[in-house]
Parts: sequence; structure tokens; C-alpha cells
Amino acid sequence: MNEKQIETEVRWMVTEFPAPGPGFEDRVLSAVPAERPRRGQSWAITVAAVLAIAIVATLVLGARLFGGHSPTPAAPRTAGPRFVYLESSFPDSTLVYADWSGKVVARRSVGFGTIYGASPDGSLVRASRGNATVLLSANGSVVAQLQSSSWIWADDSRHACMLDKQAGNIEYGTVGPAGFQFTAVHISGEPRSLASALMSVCSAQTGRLVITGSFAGCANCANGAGLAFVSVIDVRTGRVTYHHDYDGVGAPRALDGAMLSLSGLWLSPDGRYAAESDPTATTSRVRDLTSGALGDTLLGAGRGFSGDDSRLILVQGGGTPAAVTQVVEWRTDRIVWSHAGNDGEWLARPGGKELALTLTLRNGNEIIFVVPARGAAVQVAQVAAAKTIQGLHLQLVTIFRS
Amino acid sequence: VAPLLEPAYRLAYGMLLDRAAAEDAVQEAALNAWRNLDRFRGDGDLKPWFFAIVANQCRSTRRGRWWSVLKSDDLRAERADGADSLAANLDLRRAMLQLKPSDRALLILHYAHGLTLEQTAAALGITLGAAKSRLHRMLRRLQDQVAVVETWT
Repeated sequence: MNEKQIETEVRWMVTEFPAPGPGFEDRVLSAVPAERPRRGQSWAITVAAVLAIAIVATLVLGARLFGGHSPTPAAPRTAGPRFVYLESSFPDSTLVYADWSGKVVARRSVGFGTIYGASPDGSLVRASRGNATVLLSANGSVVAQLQSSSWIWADDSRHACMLDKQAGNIEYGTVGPAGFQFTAVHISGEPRSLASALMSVCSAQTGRLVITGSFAGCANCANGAGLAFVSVIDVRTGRVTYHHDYDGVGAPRALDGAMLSLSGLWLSPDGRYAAESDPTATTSRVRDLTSGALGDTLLGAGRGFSGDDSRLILVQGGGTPAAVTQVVEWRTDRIVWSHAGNDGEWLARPGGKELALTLTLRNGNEIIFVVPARGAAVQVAQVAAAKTIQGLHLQLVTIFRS
Repeated sequence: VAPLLEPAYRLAYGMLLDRAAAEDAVQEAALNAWRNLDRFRGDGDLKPWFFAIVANQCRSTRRGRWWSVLKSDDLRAERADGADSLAANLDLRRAMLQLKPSDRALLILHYAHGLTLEQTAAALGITLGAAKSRLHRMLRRLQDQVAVVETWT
């Protein structure tokens, strides 16, 4: 068989791929506004861009002079709680344990399908067995079998929240080795409709359940575009303590009329703050979910917060080869860390400033960085593009107690 | 990008082997392209630029938290199902489906979508030399696998 025959076979193979579902093109086109994105580049954004470039330049110069990503001295390598990342490859995967200074401390081989989801502290792993949801301990033994899978972990890894849309209730209680123990309370006040609501954050620390809702028929709800509201509910009383509607005024609309109020909304782990990214994913602002106050405009699309709420991951040019990922102190817009590449997963150390995040560089390499509370970022692991293509991927799983 | 949606979907399907995921990837890529229109040089060719964003989106999808664990598990099951069928294992198309997703993308972009090797390399974020050597390696590998077919049949 020669190259020409292989070329023909490739063409046949592609034409025989299953066709996209009905209305595919309409769905995609309706998600993309007809007009060019409005940059809304006010003087503040321009100043922010100039400042960002200046700071990045300073960091780059500093890195060259001092041999690191930041001119500040390297953090000491200390023992402490761990985070875990998954080196996922066919046919086996490996869990790699690192401490928050970036030092790898252990590796454990795992089989396929053993990891389905984990509590925030990693002490309990959620898995499906047949039609049942089970909780596995860190050593893999089943410690509980649960009746429902429609709940989310609270930030303490012991409590959980559920949403009963039909009854208009939230249920808050414990999920653990003892199984389910939930108490239902009726939601009072906004939001009026729970039809499109999703649970986003459940916090035992602040007693909050944050839910978000979408405009009916929105094309890209999963990433925040078409977001209609965010509500904060007291998990013990069911009272809505904060509610905000995204009315989309002044925002572009998709061809089907759906409002593109935001391109993304990310919540802090305790549900106190939300990072709202504009429809063009160019800038973000942080909303205080108690008072509704908005912080200054930040350059880039918001992603995750640090565990102490002080830092925010921002991405400029996300999804393109020119993407730059940054960690900033959002209250002062101070850039803590900056690196070229598209963001992937991230983890926040509970209550701390540390963040672990994966980046995909322009050359396809995947890297995990730990951005510590102080000092230079540490590169924990790197998978070359060739291995990435072969199916070896870096995935941040969760943190584990040491 | 309307005329590019169908070929973009084919590229995405080739990388993800999942219809719904491929549709979602193209939709997300179209939004990304719209958001980053100012980064596109007006005199450039839209096709490789858009395909690069689609390929990036597919890589992100594959890197998603549970994708490789669950999807690879599905793949393994599929392989096991067909293990007793010698003919299926020796099929060239099956061999192509077992290539690395990015290698399949290279074949699709270059052979099915008619991009030059330079454009293909740019879309996949690799050098022209890397694209050439990867293509050469793949062709050798596919030819070897088909040679096995001929030996056995």
C-alpha cells in the first residue's frame, strides 16, 4: 500500500465519520454573535494592559536575571498537605502525590475507572458501581453506598448539598462513611425559577449554597455564556441571602436572541466571590456575593480562586496559541505569576494562597506548576507533546490530607 | 466560519471519536474564534487559524478531568469486544483509529481537508520538520500494519 492509497483511505474514513446531529450548524452559529466582539476597551483596560505588559516585562527580565519565573527567592520545601495529580495513560494510570512546595513524595499505580470524583480533601473517592454510587476510602475499600448521585461536596469534605427543583428545596447534610443524612429546607425568596439552576458551590465554612441559572435555550451555558442569575442560599434556613440577575443589557446577543451576558463565571471555594468574565472573555470583575460590590476591571478571563479568596487565575487569549495564564492578587491587580500557555485544571490549597495548575504550551507540552504563597513558581511535572499525543496526560485530581 | 463547521467537526471527531464531544468542541472553538477575532490577521487564511483553535479545544477536552479515565476505559472495552475478530484488528481504518489523536488530526488536515503541510503544522502548533517526520513515521507504521494483513491473508 502506497501513500496515495492511504490518502484515499483517510478521505473515506473522514466521510464515514458519523454526521453531526440535526441542527448542528445552526446551534454553533447561534452561539456566535454576528457582530464582531465589542472590546469595550475603556481607558482603564488600556491602562491595565500597559501595566500588565510592564509587569510581565519586569518579571521576564527578573526571571532572566535571577534564573526563575519570579525575582523573589524560592520558597523553602516544607512538608504539608498534599495534592495529587493523575498521569493518565493507556492502559494504566498513576496517581502522583506532591506537597504544596511542589515536591513529589509518592506514586501509586491505579487501574482504569477507579477514580470518578473525590472529596475536596481527597479522603473519600466517589465512584459508580452498576446503578449505585459508592464512596471509597483512600485505600480503595467501599465505605458507603449512596442512594443518589445528584449532590455536591461541601468544602469540608464531610457535608454536601442537594437541590430538589420540583419541591423547591435544598437539602444539606453529611455524606460520609455513615451514608446520607440530609435535612430539607424550602427555598424562600429569589430565585423564582429553579428550572435551569445548577449547584456551583456548597460551603460548610460559610453555610452557603451558590446556584447559577441560565437563560432558556442558551447555547453555551456550561461555560457561563447565557448565565441568567446567581443566588446564594443559607443552607440551614433556605433563605436567599443574595441574588443577582444578569440582564445582558448592552451585551451582544446570539442570532437566536439569547443573551450572552458573560463568557464565564467562577466562584471562590467558600462561595463568597464570583469572577465574572465579559462576553468576549477579555476582562473580568470580581463580585462580592454578600454586598454585590464589584471590584476593578482585570485583564483576562477569570478562572479559579485560591483557597483564601485572595488570588485569581486569569487567562488572556484562551484557546489560542497566544494564550497567557496569570495568577493575580485581584484586589490590587498585582501579577503574582505569568506564563505563556493555555490553562487546564487547577487546584487551590484550602484556606491558602497556593495554587496548582496545568498549562498546555504552544509546543503541546503539558506542565503542572505550583504557585506558592511566596517565592518562585515550581514546575512539578512536564509531559512532552509526543507523550501527550500518546495518551499520557497530566490531570490534577484533588488534594489529599497528609 | 460557517463553511468550515463541517470540516471542523470532522477534525474534532477524528481527534475525540465522540460525536457529542466533537460538536461541543466545534461550538466552543467557534466562540473562542469570535472572541479572538482581533488576533486573526485579516490577510491570513482563516482555515488553518480556525482549525488550530478546534485542535486546541479538542486537546483541552481530552485533558478534561475525567475524560481520559472514562473514555480510555470505553476504548479498551471496544478493543476487547473486537479482539476475537482478527480481520477487524488488521483493518487499515481500524489502525488509523488507533493512532494518536494528534496524528489522526495531521492525516485529516493534510489529506482530507487539503491543507498544505506548512498549514497543517501551524494548525497543530508544531514545526514543519516535525510534521514531515511524523507523517513519514505514520505512513511507515500504517504500511507495516497493512503488510501484516497481506501476510496473514
